[in-house]
Amino acid sequence: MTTHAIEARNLTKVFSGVPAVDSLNLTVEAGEVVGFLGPNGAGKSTTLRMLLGLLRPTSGEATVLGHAAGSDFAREHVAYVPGDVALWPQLTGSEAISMLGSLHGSMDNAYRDELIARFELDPEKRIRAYSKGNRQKVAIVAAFATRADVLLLDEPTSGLDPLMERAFRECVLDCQQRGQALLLSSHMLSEVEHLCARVAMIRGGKLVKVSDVAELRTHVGIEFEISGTIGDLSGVVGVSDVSPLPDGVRVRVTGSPAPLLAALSSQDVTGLRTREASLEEIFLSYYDESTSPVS
Amino acid sequence: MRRASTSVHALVWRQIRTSTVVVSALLLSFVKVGLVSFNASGGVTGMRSMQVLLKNPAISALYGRAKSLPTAGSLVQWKMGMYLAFAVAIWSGLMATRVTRGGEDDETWDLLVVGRTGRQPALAIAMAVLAESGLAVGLVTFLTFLSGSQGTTDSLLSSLGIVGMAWCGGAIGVLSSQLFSPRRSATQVALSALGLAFILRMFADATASNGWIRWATPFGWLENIGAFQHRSVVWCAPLFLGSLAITFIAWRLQEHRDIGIAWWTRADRSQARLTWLKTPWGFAWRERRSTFGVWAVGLVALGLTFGYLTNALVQFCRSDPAFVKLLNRWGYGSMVTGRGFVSEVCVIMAVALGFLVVTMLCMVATDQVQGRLDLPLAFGTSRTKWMASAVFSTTLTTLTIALCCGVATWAGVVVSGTSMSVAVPLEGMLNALTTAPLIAGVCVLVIATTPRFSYIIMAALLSVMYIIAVLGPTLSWPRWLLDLSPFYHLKLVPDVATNWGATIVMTAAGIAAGALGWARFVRGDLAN
Repeated sequence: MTTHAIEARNLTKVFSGVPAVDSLNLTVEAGEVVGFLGPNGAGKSTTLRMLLGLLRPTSGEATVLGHAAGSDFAREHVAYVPGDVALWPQLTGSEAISMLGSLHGSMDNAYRDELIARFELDPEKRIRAYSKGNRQKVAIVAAFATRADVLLLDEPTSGLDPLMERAFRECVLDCQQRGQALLLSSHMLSEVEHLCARVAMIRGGKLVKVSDVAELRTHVGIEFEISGTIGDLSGVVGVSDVSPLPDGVRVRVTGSPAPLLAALSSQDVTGLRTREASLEEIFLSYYDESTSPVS
Repeated sequence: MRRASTSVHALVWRQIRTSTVVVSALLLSFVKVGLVSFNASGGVTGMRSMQVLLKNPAISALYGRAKSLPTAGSLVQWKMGMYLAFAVAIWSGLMATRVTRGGEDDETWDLLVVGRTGRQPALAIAMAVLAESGLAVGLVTFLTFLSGSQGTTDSLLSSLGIVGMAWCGGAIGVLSSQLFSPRRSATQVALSALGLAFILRMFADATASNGWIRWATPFGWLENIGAFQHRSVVWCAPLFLGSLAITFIAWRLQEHRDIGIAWWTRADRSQARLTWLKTPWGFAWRERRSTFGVWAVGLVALGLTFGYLTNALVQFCRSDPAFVKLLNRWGYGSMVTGRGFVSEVCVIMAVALGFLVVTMLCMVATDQVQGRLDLPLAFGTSRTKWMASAVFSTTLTTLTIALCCGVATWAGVVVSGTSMSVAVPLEGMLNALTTAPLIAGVCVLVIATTPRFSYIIMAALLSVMYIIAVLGPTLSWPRWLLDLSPFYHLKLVPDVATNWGATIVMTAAGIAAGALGWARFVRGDLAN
């Protein structure tokens, strides 16, 4: 039987009779970065907190490397970056990182120093003197420096400037190459698009889609902007959203573009441009329609 | 602008309304119970026999001065007034640092001051809300006295004293918030100042020659108001004007500093000190060491003061056989000797040690509510280890402070000119600690159940338990109710042997409550 780095089986959490997470099934493998997307209040943080063992599932099961979430084994192999870092204000950044490393039991000191330099963190400042972004950096440095097998990241780049976001992306890619598993909850769709081959979308506590980003694009389709004197394409197989342009027409094609190309072959086409849907458009397409949850 | 001010006003009220209701309810209950106890103590006739007690300087130091106790109100004012005022001042100080320095620490204050209201008006509104809450508890006190058919003037003076001390505590809290950061430091300084003021009043009442010290402390001014005694309304002036002056200074201090930074803030940068950060056990100590320092200084000072009073009491007893007779009749016969008095002091110290246990343990709840436990627990520490290290650290600090307090009491006794073995207060303090396991166990259970309100619940519980132990026997309350109070089971060690039966039951109950709390803390959700 395969041991997944992260596995949620029918994971459910109910608060005061209201399901925050409902029968969620998800796996993340070693060396994989999975994006976890969803609007505010969709249940992303609740799911991550269950995977950390901070919240107990109402039903279902969450495991880390085959061990129950929150167990001694799981805790030794997990590191976490919350979206809003809360630490003791009197500690310095260096003390906080060192403390978290000691509690975790392992820390790559050379890599920690490299990360401190890469994120331009002043470790001698006290937590209370840090900005939100710098507090975020403390948690990021601590989490990556542990070299934990599993990283749970809950909107880790909120508060970071674009340069630091780039440094963060490099760290994630390093982790991926080292075979670490990452579950990345984020609102930064461009970030997820850059880092994740696979995404899981959650809405109202239910997982609505788990898929490769490439596969998701086929759901939304490819946009064609065709210049020239173009006849009616609305009847062509796979074509939708036909809208006129000053010098032609814009259409969206779901599935194979062959029928469209066949229809265009007999027309006066002077230009043709294609554009793949961004993750943002995919995201919006999923949340605009009432999608049934994945099984 | 007016609408913005109303919103700020409502927001600040929201932060303190629950505790205002709890404190008002406690005041109402204590005053009511006190009024009832007057009749249970034999009414006017019974109080006449206490007349001789009031002349004793040690008793005056404990409860304040009184010439006679002709009414129920006068008994309540004398026996409880000073301590109720002290509790109200501490509460108000806590609320003040919570609203002002706490707001600046968690940056919610920013939202209030950047709006249309502005920073100075926002602080003025916060101060006004604190003043209103003080007025609310004063009004409850006034109505409670009035409903007990006490005179309007005395009821008013007594409640004015409560309002004045609430304002004074609030003003000191707001001032401390301007001067010190973070909130914990501001709170510790404010409460230390109030503790010092209370101890000064005790010294002032201990001997006639010390009387001038009363001028230097708000508790002295409170005593000089003389509700149900000599009625000197003029002494309300320093209490209220002093509070207003401190408030004004605090208000001006905010004007000349950056929001989020106090006048004396520890440097923003520091060399890393990693000694106590390697394990949860070490960190539990590091987190609590400043609280330990403040409590150690406070309780050692209190121990010294109590010890210093011993000689005055003993000398008085020797000179007045009628007083000894009275003490015997009231069940305080043991107090005629230095040894007996120190034993009584140790029983009182049990309450202070109970609050120390609660303060230390409730740091776990504060950390949880503020989301600070997420990272350590996500990075490998188990909840069991975190709670166990908090309990261990609390146990060690409480034991250390109890022993220091015992030694300080002994030193006070020796300085006052009475000879005594150091073993006497030490045995008494160890006896006082027999209530600690129960208090700690219940506290763990409350933290695991309602972390957000754990401190206020435990503080209310301890206050009620102490009142049951003090007034229950006099008022012939049912035995089962008395048995509920851990303080009721404390014997006057070393003159009387420790109540081992009760100690075993209390310890077992504490372990059971702690185990339940532990199970809930470990298995339940860690909600912020």
